[in-house]
Amino acid sequence: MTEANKNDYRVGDDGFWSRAWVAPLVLAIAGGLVAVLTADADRLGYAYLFGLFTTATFMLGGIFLVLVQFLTASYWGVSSRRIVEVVMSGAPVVALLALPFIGGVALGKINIYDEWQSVAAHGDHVDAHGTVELGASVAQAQGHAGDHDGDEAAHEEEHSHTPQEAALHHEILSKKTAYLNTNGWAARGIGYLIVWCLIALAYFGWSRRQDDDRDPRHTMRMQRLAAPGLILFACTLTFAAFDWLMSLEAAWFSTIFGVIIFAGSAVAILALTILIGLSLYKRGLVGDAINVEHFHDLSRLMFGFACFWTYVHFSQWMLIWYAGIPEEATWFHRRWEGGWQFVAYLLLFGHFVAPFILLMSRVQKRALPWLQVMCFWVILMHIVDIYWFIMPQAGGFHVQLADIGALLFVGGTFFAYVFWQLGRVPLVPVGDPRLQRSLHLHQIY
Amino acid sequence: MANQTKQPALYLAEYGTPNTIAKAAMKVRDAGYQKWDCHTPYAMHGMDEAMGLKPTRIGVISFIFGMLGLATAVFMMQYTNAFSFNLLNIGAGYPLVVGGKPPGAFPPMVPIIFELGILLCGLATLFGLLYIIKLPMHNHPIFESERFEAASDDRFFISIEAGDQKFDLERTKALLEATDPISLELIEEEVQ
Repeated sequence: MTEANKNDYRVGDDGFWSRAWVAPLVLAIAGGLVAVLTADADRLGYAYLFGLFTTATFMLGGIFLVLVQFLTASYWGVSSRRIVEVVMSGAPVVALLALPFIGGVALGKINIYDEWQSVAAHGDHVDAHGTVELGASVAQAQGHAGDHDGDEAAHEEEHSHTPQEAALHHEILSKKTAYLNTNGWAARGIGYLIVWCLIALAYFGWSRRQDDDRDPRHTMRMQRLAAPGLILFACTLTFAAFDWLMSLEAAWFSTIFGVIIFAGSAVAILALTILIGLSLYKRGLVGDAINVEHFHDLSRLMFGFACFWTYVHFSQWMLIWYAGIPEEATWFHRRWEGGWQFVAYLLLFGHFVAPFILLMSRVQKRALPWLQVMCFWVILMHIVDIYWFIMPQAGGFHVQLADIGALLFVGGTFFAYVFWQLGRVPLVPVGDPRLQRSLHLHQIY
Repeated sequence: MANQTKQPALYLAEYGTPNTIAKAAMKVRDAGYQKWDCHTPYAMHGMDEAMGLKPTRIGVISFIFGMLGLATAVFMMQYTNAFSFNLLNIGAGYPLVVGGKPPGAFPPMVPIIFELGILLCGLATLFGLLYIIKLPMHNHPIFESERFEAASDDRFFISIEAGDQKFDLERTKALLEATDPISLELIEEEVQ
């Protein structure tokens, strides 16, 4: 432990990491300005959701990684856990940035969920009409309902070719109103944010206290609560994915949807942990506490979760493709036509094939510059993945400045906080009873 | 058998602590021996470096057979389901329309491609591993030693086999004696 005596595992008062929070903050301000100045109101809703959800997946992946390490009482990741915890501790920032979004949707200022919101608000029409006749009159009836229903009518026509189909579409939506209504949606959204903040702040807080008092009882408590925490986490993440992403295509449903989002989040946080860890390692801030053995482990998990992402994504797609039911196929139809086909192929090759081949062997995972490039690439692909989930709902493939601006605004604010936090805390959990064992991690293969 | 003779099989050196065997292993490694091994009651970190072990080749075997399984599945299904060409005069393919999908449709083949890839990869890993670690092996002269039973208890052993090119009754013995073993014995096996 001579290394530890020399090294207090802190960022210190000067150097790159003591000022690293400035860059994302500047990007956030610039991105926010660009987004507000260039976007129309409709696009801004989608763009903000894109930025918000992409950012949230890093935090959610962090919660998962911390909880699962305590659940399994593992020691391999102890020395790199603090980086994950710090990313996770940005949960309140995500919550703060999500509140305007939830409020905007609830108050009707953000119109991206109009499809189910209007049905939920005017659900009585369904029972008043016969189901088959209704199709022709849905667009008409909604045309009188509010400001945005002109678009709604066009949208309805585009995807419902016959009155029967339109009626079916509307019937599905009206049956969903018990779940998909504005008040329930907003209340649930706030509930998810509270759960995430509670888990993140509790675990970060206990781990920080352990830095000072070195009390193993913190570890015991965190292990005990890890299982219920993971159940809560799994439910909130799944339903957040349903509420915020899946309901963009209101009639569509897929039970594996949340798992796909979860798999992407896990890949994202592992890539991010490796990147931050590599940067700290190269600057000598963590000494030898995080070394090639730990990066090897993290990259193995990242490789595994990239394959898992492919597995669940493909499962969803193949079942829908095989059944070929229009109600289910619409979601993929939108994500295939209008230039999105290229993005879908990019995800297949960029999110799966490239990491699969380029990170498969031990040599590739242990070549740190190579690993760094791959992590940047994987994070980029994760962002594209979320983009592909959201933006086809706004139309054909056309990247707008507002999309990038919104991502920079939310992500920049989040990472400004995370990097600032990183400068305030020890970079490894110095009080963890398993740290000593983690320091001597050794990959036999 | 009437004319059984004995010939040297291996040297077995016994050590009392992990430190002494690690130091001894480094000496044997530096002396350039190939057919030798360390026997410890538990897995010791750092022994592969001390012994100069090369990374295993099992990954290469797994990869090759995984790809082979993948290619077999693609070819098998594309040939039997999709094409009506007559390959090598061994009979025509059999294009099938199932569920209204085109005969050559790739998506339903993916699970089978995946499964066959995994199957061949897994089997190749198992049997490749058995081949590399030379199993099954019914007996080994090292079990002639009574002392060797302590290898599963509290003692550490280095064995250098007579099949090694550098093996020499005198010089190998000198090398091992220089590493301060608790005991050193030459084990012989019977040959017909």
